[in-house]
Amino acid sequence: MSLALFWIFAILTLLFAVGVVVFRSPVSSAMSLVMSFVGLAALFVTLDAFFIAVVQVLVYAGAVMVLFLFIIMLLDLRTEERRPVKLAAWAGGGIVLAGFLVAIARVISSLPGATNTKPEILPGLNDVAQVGVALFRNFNLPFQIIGVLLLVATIGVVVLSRRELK
Amino acid sequence: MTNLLIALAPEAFLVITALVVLGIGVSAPKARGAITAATLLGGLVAAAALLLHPVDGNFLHGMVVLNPLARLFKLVLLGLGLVSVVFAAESFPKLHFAEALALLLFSMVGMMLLAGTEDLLMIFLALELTSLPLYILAAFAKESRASAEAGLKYFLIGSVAAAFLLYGLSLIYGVAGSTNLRVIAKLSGDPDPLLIAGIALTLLGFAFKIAVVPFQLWAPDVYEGAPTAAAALIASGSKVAGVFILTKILTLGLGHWTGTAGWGQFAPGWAPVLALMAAASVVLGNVAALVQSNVKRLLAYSAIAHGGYLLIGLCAADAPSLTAVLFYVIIYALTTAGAFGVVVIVEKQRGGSHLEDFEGLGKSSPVLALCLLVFLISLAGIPPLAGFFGKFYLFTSALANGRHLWLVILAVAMNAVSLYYYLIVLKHALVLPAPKETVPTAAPASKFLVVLLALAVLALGLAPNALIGPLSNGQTVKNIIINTLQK
Amino acid sequence: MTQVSPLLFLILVPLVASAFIFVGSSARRTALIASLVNLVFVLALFAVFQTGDASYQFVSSTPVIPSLGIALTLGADGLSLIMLLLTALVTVAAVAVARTPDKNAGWFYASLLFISAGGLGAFASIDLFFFYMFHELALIPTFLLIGIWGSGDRQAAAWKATIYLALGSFVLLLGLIGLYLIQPEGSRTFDLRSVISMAGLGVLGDGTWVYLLLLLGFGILVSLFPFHTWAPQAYASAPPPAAMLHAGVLKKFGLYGLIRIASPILPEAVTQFANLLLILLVGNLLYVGYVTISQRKLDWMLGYSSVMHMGYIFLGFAALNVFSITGASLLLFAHGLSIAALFALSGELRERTGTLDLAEFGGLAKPMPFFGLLFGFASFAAIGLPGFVGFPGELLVFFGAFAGGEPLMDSVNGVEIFALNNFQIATVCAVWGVVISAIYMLRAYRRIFFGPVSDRWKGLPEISGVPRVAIVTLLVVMLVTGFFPNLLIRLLASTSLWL
Repeated sequence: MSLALFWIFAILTLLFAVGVVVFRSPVSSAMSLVMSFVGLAALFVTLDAFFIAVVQVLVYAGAVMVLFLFIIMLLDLRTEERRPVKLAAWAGGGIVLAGFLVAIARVISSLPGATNTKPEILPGLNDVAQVGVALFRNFNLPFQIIGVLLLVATIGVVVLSRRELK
Repeated sequence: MTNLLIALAPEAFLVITALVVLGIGVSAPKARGAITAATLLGGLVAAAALLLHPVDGNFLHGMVVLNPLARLFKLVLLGLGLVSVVFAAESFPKLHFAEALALLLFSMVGMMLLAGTEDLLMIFLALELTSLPLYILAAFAKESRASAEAGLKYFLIGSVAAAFLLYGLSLIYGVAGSTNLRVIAKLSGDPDPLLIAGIALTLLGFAFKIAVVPFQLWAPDVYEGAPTAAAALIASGSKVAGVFILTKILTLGLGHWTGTAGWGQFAPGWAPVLALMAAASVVLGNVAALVQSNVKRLLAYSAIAHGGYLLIGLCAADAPSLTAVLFYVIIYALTTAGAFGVVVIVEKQRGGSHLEDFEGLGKSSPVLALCLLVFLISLAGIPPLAGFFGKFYLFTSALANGRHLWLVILAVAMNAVSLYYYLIVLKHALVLPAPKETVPTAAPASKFLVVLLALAVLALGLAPNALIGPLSNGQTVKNIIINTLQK
Repeated sequence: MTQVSPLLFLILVPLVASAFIFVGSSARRTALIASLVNLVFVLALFAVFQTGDASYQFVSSTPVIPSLGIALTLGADGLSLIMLLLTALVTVAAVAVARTPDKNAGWFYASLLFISAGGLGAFASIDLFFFYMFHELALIPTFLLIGIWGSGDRQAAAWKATIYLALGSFVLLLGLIGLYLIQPEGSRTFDLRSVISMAGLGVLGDGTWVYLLLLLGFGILVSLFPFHTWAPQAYASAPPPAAMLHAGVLKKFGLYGLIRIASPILPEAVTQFANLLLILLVGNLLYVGYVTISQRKLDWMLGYSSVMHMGYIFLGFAALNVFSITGASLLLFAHGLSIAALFALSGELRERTGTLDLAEFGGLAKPMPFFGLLFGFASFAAIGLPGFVGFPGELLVFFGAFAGGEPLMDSVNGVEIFALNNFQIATVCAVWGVVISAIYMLRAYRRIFFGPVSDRWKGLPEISGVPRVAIVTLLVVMLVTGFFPNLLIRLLASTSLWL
């Protein structure tokens, strides 16, 4: 059951991710991205990571995407012009890619370690309180560093996007 | 707990300094002297904290690990960062100067954290903290198209590489069940395919950090377009930190999967992958550098080639080779920082960094020309300068391992090629006359620093043991390669 | 050992002098004083040298990288002392005849001093790492000297020489690293004495490939046929002092290295590849000799002749016996002095006439009789006429080489007769080399100094002053050691014992 769900959501996620690149209209691309994020959230659910699933939907599919759409609206982006598809290039690239994938698959499947059982990772952290405790106790230092990282990003945005007064 | 505070004090001082500098920037944006002074002062306080209160130990389950080697690298990275700060005064736009220095400081914090950790999560975060300020700094000259292009290119390729790296690290984490390198090192038996994929993706991610094939494309454009002081840090500090942590991940965490890179006797592992990356980088970097007309681009291709030399040492993966790699990367960083310093001053005097802009340098400022001579022939590996000794040590220890003759022969042949393009720069600087009279612009601090770096390169060439001693004695390199030795 | 070798002083003098030049002291005077100080100093070393002692003297050792067995170990035996004397003499002469250039005089003299320091350091090093390192010290100054102050197509000449020399050095470096790695693990060192004693104990690994690398590396540096093409062009374009120092001193480094390293450590490999070396050196003597004859310009002719003469020394090395090696060592000294004198004279000639085309000269002995006399003596010395130190050198090489190798027997109709082995054939070719060098040297001498004098050259000034003294000194040294070769052979005899 969960395996079937994994395949369904994984394929959905990938298809919409391809859609982000393929669609010519920015709004369609953004909506594809939303769907891709939702698929990803569903994958988290199948892994019993409910908290991350919720955050994924709330933050990415919700907040970040709204910002994306705002920006698309503000910049008044038009649909990209469609470029002629070069069949030969696609075919050549496809052949190389397929060959590469086959080679990788054969190498990997020939390795004897493929059947090793994977270790247990961490006990489930589904309670928001547990997540908070882990974040502020075990992962306090990384959390602080992310704070600095966000400050850097803020400075960068302000400095680079500001229109200088002459 | 107090020990942890002392252990992280240098980084904390730098963050505080960065905030103070931002504050000065808001209240007195024109006081560039004060801003530089505050930055340097903060850096010196951090260096003092590092030197006067050395703490060794393992904190937070390996997230912060300090030992003499890590502290040595923190000091080197701090020094390289401060060198860029001094150069920044000559090469950054006047606008938003405080923000630029704060970003340099943040990047230094990332590098220093990187040198003192054995945890995949921290490694990734610290790498991002190193890179993100550099992306912004690369685009900092807002009136210049080249700078904008450099920033965008650096950012896009960097993000893709970061994605590779994160994917690789998370696969390693998934297989090992821990982000701690020493726990990962306990994995044994047949390699898991996921682990192989994880290692491969990690290597690709690091290929970006240290600018080797296949993620080398950004280097020439970024070195050329970015403000030169930012390029200096990208070429020196960022590379040192990347090589150091890559060495640590591969030998401390993944020492069981070294494999062999000998000609005709490849065994699966990361060494053969590195060997191919090294061979490609050495050839591509040296050959492409031959046709460059901009000194910064030329230095970028030479950086790719030097990344290749470093990987050769990593392939050998025994104590002498790793000591040689670490020695080489420090020497390389000092030399490159110095060369960029000369470029900073020349750019300020002539307004460009093309070969023609160096013409007549020997006449107009002989000291600077002499320093350039020292840096370039050190990069070319001519004695008695430190670069020669670094190469000698690297190649000797890679050969002593007995399997890397093909790589060393390739590297030596390409090194002979490299002499040509370094000499082209010297020909322009020393042999050709100046096309027009130029007024030397005073840049006393940068010039002083350039002379200092040249003296350091000369001194380390005459007495390399001053650095090899600390690198190879007792607890240092053995600390990070203990698993390889036990193998 | 805490004592400081006097040899270190010898190396430091030129370096300190160049530092003084950079901070502003008068370039020419400083360089001249430094080189004279060094000459006096080397002569003092001769005075205190213990002739009967075969081991190194004036030894001092400072560990540099103990973990790799690298130490700054200086010391001199008879052979090194002779090379040091050569270097000091040629440096004095080179600085003396140098014309101070209009631009960057400081860089010019500093480069000369660096080349000199490199030569001195290489000849005084017992440690192979520093032996290499000091030689490399001269690479960039050579590039600058040819590139900035050269004549003709100086850029091309500078590039060609530098790339060849760098390539040779890198191959040589690989060879030296190989020599390090064939030592048993744990006792690896760059100390030449230890390596030689290890070779004596038979604990070294297979050294065949190391010898080939060394031969190729040193061969490029010495302009062994067919890697010689950089040399004539470089010497023709270089300013005279640079050509003197490079052809006279630095090029000897490669042969000195082969004699020093390959003959005691890898004698089997030398014997094994003797035939290859013989073919190449006959190429040097006959092919390059033929090319030399066909040169139309004096500087190119001298450049080729300096390549050609390396053949004799290679022959002495290849035969690997006491006579031949002693002769080769003498020739190192003799050729260094004679080629330096010739390049100095050709530089003076160009300075006066603006050309070195042999066809344009004639009858110069009339306006400049003393110049002609000096040139004649220098030519005779280069040919190796009796009375000059080249003569005993060539004689010993020929005798030694003729006795080299296994005697070859042949039988005709059942009667055993002697046949010439390859060494003997090469020796015969080498003797023809003397004839070839006599042809081109004497022909050049006749073209320049005899015959009707054209009006262009009537007012040429005679050689005088410092250059005159310098060149006369070189010739006097060659004459003295030529009449009393035992002065040098006594020093070498003990050195040659390690064969």
